[in-house]
Amino acid sequence: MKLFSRKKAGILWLFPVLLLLVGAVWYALLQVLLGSLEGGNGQFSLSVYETLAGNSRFWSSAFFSFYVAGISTMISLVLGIFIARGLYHYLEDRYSRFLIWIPMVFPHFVGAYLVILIFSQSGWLSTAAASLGWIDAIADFPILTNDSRGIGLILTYVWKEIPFVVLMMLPVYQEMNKEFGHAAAALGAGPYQRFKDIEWPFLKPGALETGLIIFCFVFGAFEVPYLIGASSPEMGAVLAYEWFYSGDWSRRPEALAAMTLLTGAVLTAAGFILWYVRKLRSRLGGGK
Amino acid sequence: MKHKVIIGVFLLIFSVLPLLLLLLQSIAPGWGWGELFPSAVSVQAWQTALGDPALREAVAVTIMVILFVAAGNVILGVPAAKMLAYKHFRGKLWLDNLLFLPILIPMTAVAMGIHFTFIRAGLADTWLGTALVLFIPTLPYTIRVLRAGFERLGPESEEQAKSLGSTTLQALMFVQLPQIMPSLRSAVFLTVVITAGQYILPVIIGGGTVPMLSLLYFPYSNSANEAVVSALSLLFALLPLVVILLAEMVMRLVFAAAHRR
Repeated sequence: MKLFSRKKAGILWLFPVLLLLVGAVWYALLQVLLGSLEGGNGQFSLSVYETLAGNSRFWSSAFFSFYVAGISTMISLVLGIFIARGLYHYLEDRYSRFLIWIPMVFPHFVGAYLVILIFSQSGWLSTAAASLGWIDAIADFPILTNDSRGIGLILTYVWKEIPFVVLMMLPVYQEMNKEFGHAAAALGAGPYQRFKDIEWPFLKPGALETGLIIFCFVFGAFEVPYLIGASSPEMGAVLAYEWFYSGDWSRRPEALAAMTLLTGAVLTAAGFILWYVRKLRSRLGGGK
Repeated sequence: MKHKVIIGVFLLIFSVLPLLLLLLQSIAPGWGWGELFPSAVSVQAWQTALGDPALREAVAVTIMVILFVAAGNVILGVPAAKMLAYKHFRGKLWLDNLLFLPILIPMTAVAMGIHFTFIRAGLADTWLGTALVLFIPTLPYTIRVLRAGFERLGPESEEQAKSLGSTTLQALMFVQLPQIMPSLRSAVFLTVVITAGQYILPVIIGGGTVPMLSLLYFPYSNSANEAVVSALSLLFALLPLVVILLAEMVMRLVFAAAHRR
């Protein structure tokens, strides 16, 4: 078996990976882009994008996706880092640490269902409020799911993504040099100052990367808004899906154009953040 | 002490209570608004769910697809992760980013873009086609997790094994992989959980003919029977546990068999 040198065998193994993660993905995105550029008689045209630009439903969807993704990302990151910090500093017990992973075994749509069970007008919190005498009827409870402000969506994503943030941040805390913190404390730094000046510089690259993953995931998400989103405004991917599979094929180019714009926004954000994270990492001295 | 209590209470509300709520809901079919706790319990919803032949088929298909995807992830991910961890070459930065990007790209776009090609290739509406597209949201995570494991391990242990006369494959099987078992477990766990939770890819590429469990969940969740939906929700948590136990057994058997040779 000297036919393949060791070096070539390594590249041969990489081939299926490249085919799936680079070839298939970019081929699919190219198909989406080409489909959106198809004019009436087989010619390229930008007319679909002109139609889309004048479509207020598309714009409200795009803004709604951006808003839900932004808020979910911020809350998940802040609470997730806070919990990773707490688990690392104060909870040595391995078994109670396992509790934080429970939301991870459930798919996102189960999280959405749980939010309905707890927060909907006929949910458990509503029952609790009634038994405390705060409300008299189901209708008195505020609408928190399938709502146009996206509260149900945000609750779902925060529940699902906090453990993900902990998963990404806990190793950073474990690899962090504890001595810096001790030294800062000895010199009189309070907990906030220790976090800001000692921990945050180490956390920042990973936190930005984690935030990017969450933001992009929520921004392009389909499952959860399909299950518990409001009918208006819809998240971008739900709108595109409805156009794509709406009986006749007349709205397909619009669906593909909408997905092209959503994906383009994601890739632009990714480009900036990944470039910045790389810069931060090389400054930290890892250079990996 | 104060911090411990705060974290404990948070974990209780955040993780334990939702699980308990699902459990209670699944054994209390009549539990509705106005009752803080259910008045009667029965296993009727579990019987309905587990007695549904469509659901039993979905569980079997889902486990099969998940095992295929998880095994493929390990087989494809280990060499790629090892290469990214130890080798330095031109364009590595770009390769690194390209392998990471599928995590960020909306799967709805990927599914729409690749559907026609899959139809033409005869892969649409087949379990193989569905399993293949499920590598896209999972393999980037596997490579990342395993790469971090290899990086922590360092290249020395492979060099040591080789200086004692082992081949690259032997060094990998006997020395490196047993040492990065925690990373391997994390990778399999993530793969299983992500695969089980995919909806849009199996819907579009599987075309409804590959009955993944997630496809059943949506019609179920629109039904009014909250006890049955809760039972199904718990099944989603049990499934990864079953598959992870299976994967753990397989991994141990493989290592044990490799040792005997």
